[in-house]
Amino acid sequence: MNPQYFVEILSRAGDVLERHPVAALPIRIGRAYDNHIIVSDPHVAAHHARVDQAQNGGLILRDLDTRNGLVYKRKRLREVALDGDTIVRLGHTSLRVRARNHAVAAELADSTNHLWEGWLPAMIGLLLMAAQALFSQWLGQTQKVEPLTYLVQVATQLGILLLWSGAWALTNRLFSGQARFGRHVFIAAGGMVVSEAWYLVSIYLANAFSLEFFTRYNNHFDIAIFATMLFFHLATISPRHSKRIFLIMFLLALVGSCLSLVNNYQRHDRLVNELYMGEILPPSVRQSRDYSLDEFINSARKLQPKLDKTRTENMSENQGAGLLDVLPGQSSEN
Amino acid sequence: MSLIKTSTGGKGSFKNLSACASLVMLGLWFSASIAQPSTSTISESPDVSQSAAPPSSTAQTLYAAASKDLLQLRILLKNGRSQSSTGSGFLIGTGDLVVTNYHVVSRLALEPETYTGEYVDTDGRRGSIELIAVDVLRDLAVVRVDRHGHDFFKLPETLTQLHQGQNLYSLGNPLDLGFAISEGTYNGISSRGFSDQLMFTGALNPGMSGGPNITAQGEVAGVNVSHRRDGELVSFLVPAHYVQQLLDSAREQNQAPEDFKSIIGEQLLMHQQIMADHLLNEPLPSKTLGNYKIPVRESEQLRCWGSSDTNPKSTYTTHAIQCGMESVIYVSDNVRTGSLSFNHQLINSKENHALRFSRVASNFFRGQIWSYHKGEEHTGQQCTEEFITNGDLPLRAVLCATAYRKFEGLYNFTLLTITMNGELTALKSLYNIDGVSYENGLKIAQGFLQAVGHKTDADEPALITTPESNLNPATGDNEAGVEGSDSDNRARQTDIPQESTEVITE
Repeated sequence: MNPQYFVEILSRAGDVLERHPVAALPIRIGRAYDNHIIVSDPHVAAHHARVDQAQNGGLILRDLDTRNGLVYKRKRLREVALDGDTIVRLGHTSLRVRARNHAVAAELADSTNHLWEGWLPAMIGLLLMAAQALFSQWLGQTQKVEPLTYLVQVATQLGILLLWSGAWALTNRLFSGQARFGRHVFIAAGGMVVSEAWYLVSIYLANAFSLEFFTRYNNHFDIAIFATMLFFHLATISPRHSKRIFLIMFLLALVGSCLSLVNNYQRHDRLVNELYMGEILPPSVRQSRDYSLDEFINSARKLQPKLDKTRTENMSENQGAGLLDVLPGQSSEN
Repeated sequence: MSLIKTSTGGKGSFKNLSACASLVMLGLWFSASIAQPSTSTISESPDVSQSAAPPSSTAQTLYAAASKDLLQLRILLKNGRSQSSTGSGFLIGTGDLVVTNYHVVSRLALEPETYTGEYVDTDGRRGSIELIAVDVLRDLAVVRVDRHGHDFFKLPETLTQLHQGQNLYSLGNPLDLGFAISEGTYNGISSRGFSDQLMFTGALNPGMSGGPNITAQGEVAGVNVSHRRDGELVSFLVPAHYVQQLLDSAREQNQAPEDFKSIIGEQLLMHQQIMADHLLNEPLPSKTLGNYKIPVRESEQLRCWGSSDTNPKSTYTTHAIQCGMESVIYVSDNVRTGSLSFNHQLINSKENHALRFSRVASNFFRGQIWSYHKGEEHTGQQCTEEFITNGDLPLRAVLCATAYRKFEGLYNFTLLTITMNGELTALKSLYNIDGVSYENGLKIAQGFLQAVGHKTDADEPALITTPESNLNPATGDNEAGVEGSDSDNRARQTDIPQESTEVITE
């Protein structure tokens, strides 16, 4: 038998779920077992539709007087002319019919780095993460501790890394058939290392060149690093959509930054994260000049108008709160 | 500068007198049984009470005579008239003016739209009160009532001198339980506060504030104001001559001022000017801490304590000197001002790694200043931060200020600095300057910034290197039984936050 036609049952996303070769027209479609194509969908009639040769030589799908009929582009039709890309819905089942001479599109360029898979990136990711855990534990240590503490710290961080990467690998398997666990491990570990490195660099910039901007708004840089990490995770799952993913991540990062600004403004009446920079490096890293005492006092003098302006603000809304202070529970007996 | 001169007796007599000081409290309910001598109240020491004059008789006579002019003052919520706080007061001469503490009536001064006041006399009669004058620095106030005094409490032009050990009697209504008189002794002048206070070794309890303290002859010696929570029977009185000054100015004015906030603001501004001039008129004395020269100004008002942490498990050691005032100006329950405090912390690394030590130093530097912009009393902090040099040392400095919402022209300043001399030593300093004008705040901050530097040979070592000098005279008495080697440790432990030690007696 030499099939002339193929009936393809599609998922909602357009992927082919089943492909049925058919030798000749007409093709009967339905739930009953005397059809050519048997569809196991309770919303499909026993004898639902039939594919025939149209007068112009193409194919045509006809409804056999069923309850749910044929739907094409959201419209219910008695009959639908089929070219290879016409997707018709019967009940809950979408399908298309292609002849054997249907022309397919050219193949995609392979952008996946197949060498960077499996054990190599996984081991490098784990090593990076372990190094980062050891370094940050060592740097922040203020008490003499047992070596075991380091081990616990490393094990904890590696455990979290494996859980995180595992979740991504599972998602990857679900959507594109491969887990690509090793690459997810590498991406997550890379994100952590970049974040730690940026932290040190930002402190250096602030201390050496008075570029306190970088520490004042450090959470926005963290959001950017996190969004980049998510971008790589998602692009690993679906390399074809990397442009769209990039755009979505960019917008999400923007929203996250704005929310953090709004939150700071509401809670502290300022946009920056901290009242002042708390991270100090030895004076030997200082590259820019130190300011004089007079310059410092003069810049403090400029704060007075701001204070005087806010002094009388918000007072009216606080008057109401003042009354609450003296409810019976508060009144003392002395 | 005080009008009351006192003989400063020897330390031995001080101890004996305070040990012998007996306390007699006669409640209102006892006054009904005056006909029968109430020996039961003092029966624990019959040999003392029956030799010579019974100690209760003076208090008994005084209470009987004073009770007509003794009042309890109650602050009430206008809405519902439930009481929110109580204190005491007394009528002067034959007039209608009543002297009390500012802190008893502070709510009338600051929130007249929410609070009102009334008096209750020893017979339970009530009447309204009207606030006439306040002296927030000395914690005094004058109110007018709808009755006249019986000329018991008098303030003559020249006050008689008090002598240490002399019996004094405080009257008032402790804890709203009923009127009472408590006996104690006069023990000199305490200069720890902004203005002098009399030390009274006798019981003052909340509710007695604003009540009179009189001599056995019935002359007003002072006004009950506070007691030390960490001591026994260590109480304080506002000297009578300050009462005279306030009464004189109250009599001059015909009407009660409408807005007390601005009056209080002016008094605070005047006070801070005097304090700032005093602080700035000479260069700040300095001491050494490690290799640094640090500004440490010690005086009667500003007390310094040293402490150190040399935990063998830590990768660093710290040595600290903290200086602060023991008293603050009470403005309201939420606002106490006028205090100056600073602490210097020297952090030494035990290791040899600069980056790691910088993280330790950052831990000390971070999170030292808080800002709350929705506060009812203060604005949020406005800060400026920079790497500066004062000619001697490179410093990272943060200077923050908040404004008082209710008092124009008053600010709190916080100055935080850290300097790392070499890579393995850091000096962190935190200065709090409360209730000053903007200019004075900047000047004081500048003074502190100029005073810190490298140690030179001429500098006097700080407290921390000579721990035997930091014994607290106030606790020295309690430490008597402790061995010398232990005592400096004990002194450090008693160095609890200064604000909690003194209790205002409402």
